Amino acid sequence: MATIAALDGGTYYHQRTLHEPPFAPFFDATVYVRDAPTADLEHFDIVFLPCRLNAELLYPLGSQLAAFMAGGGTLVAMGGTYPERWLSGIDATPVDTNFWWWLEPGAELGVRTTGQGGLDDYLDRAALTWHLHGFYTLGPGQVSLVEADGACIMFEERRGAGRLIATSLDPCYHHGSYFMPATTRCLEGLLPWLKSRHSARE
Amino acid sequence: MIRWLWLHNTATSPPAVFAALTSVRVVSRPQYEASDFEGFDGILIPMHADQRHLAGISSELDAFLDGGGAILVNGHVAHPFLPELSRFVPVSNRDLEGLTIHREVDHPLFAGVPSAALTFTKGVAGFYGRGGNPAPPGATVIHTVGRERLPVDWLLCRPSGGRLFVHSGNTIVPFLRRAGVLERFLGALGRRHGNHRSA
Repeated sequence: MATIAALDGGTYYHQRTLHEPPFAPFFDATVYVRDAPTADLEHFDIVFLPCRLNAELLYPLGSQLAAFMAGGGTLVAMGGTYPERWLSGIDATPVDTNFWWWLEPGAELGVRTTGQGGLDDYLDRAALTWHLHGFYTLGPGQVSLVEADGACIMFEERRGAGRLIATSLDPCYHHGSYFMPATTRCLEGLLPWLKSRHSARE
Repeated sequence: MIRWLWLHNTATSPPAVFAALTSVRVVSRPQYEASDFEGFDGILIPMHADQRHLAGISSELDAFLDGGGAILVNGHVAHPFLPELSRFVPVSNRDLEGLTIHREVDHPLFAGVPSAALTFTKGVAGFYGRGGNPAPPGATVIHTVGRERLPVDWLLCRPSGGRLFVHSGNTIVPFLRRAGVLERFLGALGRRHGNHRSA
């Protein structure tokens, strides 16, 4: 089973997501984000950057995280970590979030899995639908995993011997705030999928 | 002029609404660089704060209160960073009754703000508070939530000095702005009382 280390930004929603039931058992280790520069992240298969981890703290980690992927690790950048600011080759466009779309009868966000990466076995549309915060314009080698009305909101990319998985979805923040049950269901599917995906050869 | 320090810990901008205030000045500084509280009347701790870091500077925050300053805490307490703070307790049932905000006492900080304006945002309940950071002895509990009446907002005027206001939900600033009382609230909470030395 792949091992996973999460960086902990010290926020209350990181505490609930990373250290409390039901998801604490998924994480083999947590590293306080300010200790990350001296942490041996390469001992883990997956490094998980939870939602809204302050990107200002991730700039100085960019080369360390790139080397982690080059060495075979899977890096997971969740919503609000802005990987386009501290990794090369990511084209992201923020959107003005409509927090109220669901008040309109019959409205939907149009979120769909693409059928790639085996994600369908773990997550359905309802577990991926709450808010939209940004889209990705994909470059060579980047594979869309989840889309909203055809625009990519989660992708993966082989980088060296490893893999990058990035999304603008922010389930850790909402789950950690006791807000929106869909985000808890998202993590219930996403975390096991990440461990499975790390071992995939494709 | 009442001066507040906003401890910023996101890669996005602090609230633009502060620029419109005239009798209150809110200065934003990155959380990890804001070690000097000299010259501020209040410290505004947003929901996105790194509480592990705050726990590491607990004695400095405590001393700021002792000096007669005010601290406004937002969010769920996960790492108690002051002696008066305890870990957040969520409501047990998140239906309408479970998310209704109750005013326990009338308080000048919320004069003219109906509790329904706090319960509902665009007709939807649950944005103001979904549980409570337990109130210490001597605190005035102003708002509670749900059947258990968990303390969402409380104010403690510490015998040793300083005023600690705790809002157990998303950062209170947008709610106060919409209610038209943001400047009055920060002005009143930040105003120093008595003969405490300047922090």
